[in-house]
Amino acid sequence: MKQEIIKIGGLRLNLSEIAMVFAGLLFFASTAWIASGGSFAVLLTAKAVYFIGLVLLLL
Amino acid sequence: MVGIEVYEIVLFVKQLGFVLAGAASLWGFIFSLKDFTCGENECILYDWIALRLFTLFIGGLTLGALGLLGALSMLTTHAHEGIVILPDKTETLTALLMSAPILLILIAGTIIIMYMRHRHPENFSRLITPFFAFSFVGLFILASLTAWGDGLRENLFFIGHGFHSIFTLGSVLVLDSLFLLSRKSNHLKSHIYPLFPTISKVIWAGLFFDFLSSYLILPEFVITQKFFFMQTVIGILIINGVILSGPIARKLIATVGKELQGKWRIAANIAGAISITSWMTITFVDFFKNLSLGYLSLVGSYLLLILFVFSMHYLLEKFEEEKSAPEFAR
Repeated sequence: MKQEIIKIGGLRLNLSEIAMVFAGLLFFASTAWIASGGSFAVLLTAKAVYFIGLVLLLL
Repeated sequence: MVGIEVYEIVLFVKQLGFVLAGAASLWGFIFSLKDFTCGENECILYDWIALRLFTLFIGGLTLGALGLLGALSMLTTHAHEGIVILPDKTETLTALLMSAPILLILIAGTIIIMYMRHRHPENFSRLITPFFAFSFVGLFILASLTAWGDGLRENLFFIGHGFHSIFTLGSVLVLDSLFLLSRKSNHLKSHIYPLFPTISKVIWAGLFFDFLSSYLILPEFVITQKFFFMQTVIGILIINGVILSGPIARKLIATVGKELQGKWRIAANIAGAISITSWMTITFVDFFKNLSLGYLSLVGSYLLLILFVFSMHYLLEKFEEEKSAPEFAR
């Protein structure tokens, strides 16, 4: 599937790449969340978003 | 020393060697397979690339075999001394003993194919593609056998946590060596760079296999400083990977025939160094169960390693620039 490239700041990213960046940021958030006593929910969300990004990339 | 045991370093070397050889055989197989599907002139070029990967395969297999022999001798010594073996050491030793016959078959196959290369080149060029396929299967099993316990869930975790490195760390190393290899030749660049998005997809899928395997042990997850560090590195690895396989790879493909300049060249080198260091780090840290470094010490070591890899990459690039470009029949 040919994905449209969107310009964000100085970077040109497609939809799957945006999902992957979001997943990466969620990994940082999950580290802080778990360190402050939170559950694995954010980490699992990060992995789910990563999976969505991967599917979009492979389509 | 900081909770690292010598046998763990040896086990890491073994794994690094096997995943490098595994990835080299996977991509060597794909490049040599193109031999049958491409036009007449390009066949020479793809064979040439596959042969370069054969050298990488030999290096990886040697490293892996030395690591396996070293780890075997260290762990069996522990057993003979009557020291109480922790369950994880027993599981590791079981996996090493299961690996040994597969490694011996692989070494025998490699010796035969190397003999053919020198004595019967026509047979060698005919058999190199099935050889790469055969090696990939063997190395996939070797990379999967990092430990072997009693439970199915536990063993599935060990397998998933082991083989993904062929697709991640190993493929990153192959991709980087292909990048360095093609530096001087636009003809090579025009054939290698378009494959970068495909290699990236395999790397992203490899990381997903690792995530899947970690679900199997989610109830046993222990929250440590090492865990926080690993999560941080995975976050960096993903964001850096997007920049490297997205905007930078597109720029590289668009500028074949011209030298990548200015901020793009610096960005490509930094992103490449972060990529190799991060994959190496998440594989490396896994092998040290009692690593006692704190979060900041781990991050500090990681940043120093990025700087080191960046410098080494810069030197290698300079070295490649001094070499003349390979010539191909056109």
